[in-house]
Order: sequence, then structure tokens, then C-alpha cells
Amino acid sequence: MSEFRWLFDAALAAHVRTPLLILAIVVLLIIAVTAVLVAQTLKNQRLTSAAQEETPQTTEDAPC
Amino acid sequence: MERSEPTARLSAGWLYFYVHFVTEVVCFFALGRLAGDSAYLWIMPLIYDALAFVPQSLIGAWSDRHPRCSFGLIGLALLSGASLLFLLQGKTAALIALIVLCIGNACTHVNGAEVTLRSAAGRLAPSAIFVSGGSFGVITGRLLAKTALPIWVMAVFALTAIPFVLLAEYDRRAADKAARPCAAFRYASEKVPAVAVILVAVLIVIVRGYMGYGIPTAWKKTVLQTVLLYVAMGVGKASGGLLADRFGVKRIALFSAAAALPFLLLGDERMLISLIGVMFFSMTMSITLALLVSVLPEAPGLAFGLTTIGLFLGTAPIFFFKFTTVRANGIIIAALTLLCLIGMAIIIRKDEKRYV
Repeated sequence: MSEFRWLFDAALAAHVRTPLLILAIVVLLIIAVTAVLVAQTLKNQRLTSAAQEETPQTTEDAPC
Repeated sequence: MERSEPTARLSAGWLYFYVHFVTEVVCFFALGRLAGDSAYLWIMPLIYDALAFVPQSLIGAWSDRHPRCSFGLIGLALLSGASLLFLLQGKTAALIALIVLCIGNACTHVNGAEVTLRSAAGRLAPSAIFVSGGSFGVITGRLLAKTALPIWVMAVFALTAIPFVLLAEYDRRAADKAARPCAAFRYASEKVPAVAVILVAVLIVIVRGYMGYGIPTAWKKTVLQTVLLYVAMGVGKASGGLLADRFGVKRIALFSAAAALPFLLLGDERMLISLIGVMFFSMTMSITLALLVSVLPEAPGLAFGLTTIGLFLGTAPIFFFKFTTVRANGIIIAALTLLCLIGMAIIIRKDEKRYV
């Protein structure tokens, strides 16, 4: 007995090819935009923490 | 009277436990009715998974930037509207209703994550309680779909969650007074780059998503047994967060993943053993979310969206193929658990002594 079975056969593929293609494109597009958003957020967080480190914390540290 | 801090933190979790419950009841009631029609049997659940899970990252990112926009209320309105749209005849109407339902589902989930993470003060319990509500909702919705209940009842039922969303908004507003409400989430190892933490955490979610369907449960033959399976999932998800707050995130993450394996493998024919395994297995849910928020503290909505993308990527393969023997399933589950354990050991920072 085979330990593996395809559920997506040729008959099914003929019925759902177009909606499946549209769905795949939508999903991939959203994942790509998400990746850009994550990269942007990480960059902003890095810039914010770098700016906080540079800001003098007390009046004693502040240059006159 | 002022509420104590832990009560305020957990209240958002319990409020969104109900909102999540309602969301899943409405969605799985509609899906149950659609699946009854063989033409929709294969493609509709896949469309649902894709459109309910994947866009949550975009909605989450928008919600992070526009905190005044209540996606909880928008979501409930969409869920209610979708239930009414299902009353219309024809495939196009059903497809439109399904898309509206998916977006509604995504909106309530994102708001739940925003509220429970922002008001949590770095604890996992609120988001874990919120997430656990879904398991109870899924099984309730499935069971109700088999009754003669008309679908318009779901339109009304969705609206019962409105007061809960409004009450939870108070917690979010209070939490947002702090400059960085999610800064207390510091569970990711500082030695690992943020991008690597994100990739590994999403990979763990993918594995968990896949395993959720691959768990051998030959014992599940009656309705009561199916209900018990979902209850075990819900209890596991909630207790994962509660125990992680009490005993440490790393400890609970590694313990639950390792402990789940023998129970899952030996529980194919034995319900009790299997349920214990499912409970342990579900415990990591809130931990992966906390890890992602730890590296994206300014964007909890986006972080939550990453977990739902992972969940979709994990569940998508089950629509295309399946392993037909317990042996093959066992090997896959063991290998994936080992992969998760190694991943978690690397990306989770060492537990500090706290809350004990």
C-alpha cells in the first residue's frame, strides 16, 4: 500500500485551475507585500533605537 | 473601583475569547453549509483558509498605524453581512459571501491580537486565552451547521459580540497611553538576528499548522470524541500562555513540544493519550506569537499576521496530498517536532526567574 496519496487529481484540476491560479497570485502578492512591510518595520525600529541611544539621557550628559 | 493590574490584563483576553468564539461559530457554520454542496467541497475551504488567514498581515499593519480604526467592529459587521449574503442563491453570491466572511474573520482576529498583546504588559496569557476561543467556536459552528438552524441566526449571533469588542477597546486605549505597549515582550534571543527569529518562528507555525491535520486520531469516531479533541486544543492553547507566564517561555515551549511527541505517536487508537498529546502540542501557539512580537514590538498586528500566513502555508498542503499510513505520519511528525525543538532552543532567550 502506498504511504502517500495525491488528492489533487486531473479531473479536479480541470474544474478549479483558474480560481486556484488567481488565489495563488493573490496569496503570493500579499506575502511579498508583507515581507516588504516587515523589512520596513525592522529598519524603522533600528533607526529609532539608534536615535534613542544617541539622545543624551540626563542633563549631565547633555553638551552645553 | 480601579481594577487590579492582572485583572485588567486578563479581561481583554476573556472578552476576545468570546469574540473569537463567535467569529469561528459564524464562519464554520457557513463553511459547514457550503461543504454540504459537493461542488464547493474542495475549493471553498481552501479559499476560506487563504482569504481569512493571509490578509491578516496587511490588516494588522494597517491597524498598527491606525489605532483609532476598530477592526473588531468592522469584522463583526462583515460577518453579519456575509451571513445574510449566504441567503442569496447562486455560486457568485456564495463566493462573494465567502470573501466577505473571510475579511470579517481576518478583521476580528487582528483586533483581538492588537488588544490582547498591547494590554498584556509582556504576558502571554491574554493572547493565549483569546486564541483558545477559536477551537471551541470551530466545533460549535460545525455541529450547528448540521442542524436545521437558519443562517440568518448567525447574522444576529455575530452582533452579540459588539459589547465585548467595545469593552476591550478600553483596555487597548489604556494600554496605548504607554509609549511602547509591547516593549515588555522580550522573549527572543538577542544573539539571533531579528530576521532569523522571524523566519524560524514562522517555520514553527507552518510545521504546527501541518501537524494539526496530520495527527493520527483513528479513535475519533463519534461527535463527542470530536468535541473532546477541540476542547483539548482550546485548553492547550490557553494553558500554554498561562504556564509560560508562570514557569518561563523557553521551559514551556521545549517541554510541551517534546512531551507532545510520544503521546501523539502512541495515541492513534487511545483517546486519552492522544488528547494529552494534542494539549501539549497546542501550547506553543501563543509562544510563537510572543516571539514575533518580541522582534516587532512596534507592529503587533503585523506580527500576528505573520503567524496566520504561517498557518495557511502549513495547512495548504493537506488540500493536495496526504500520508495514508500511521507509520509515515509518525515519521513526519517526529521529524517536524525535532525541527521545531531545535528552532525554539535557538531563538528563545533564556528564561529569567519571574512570576513564580
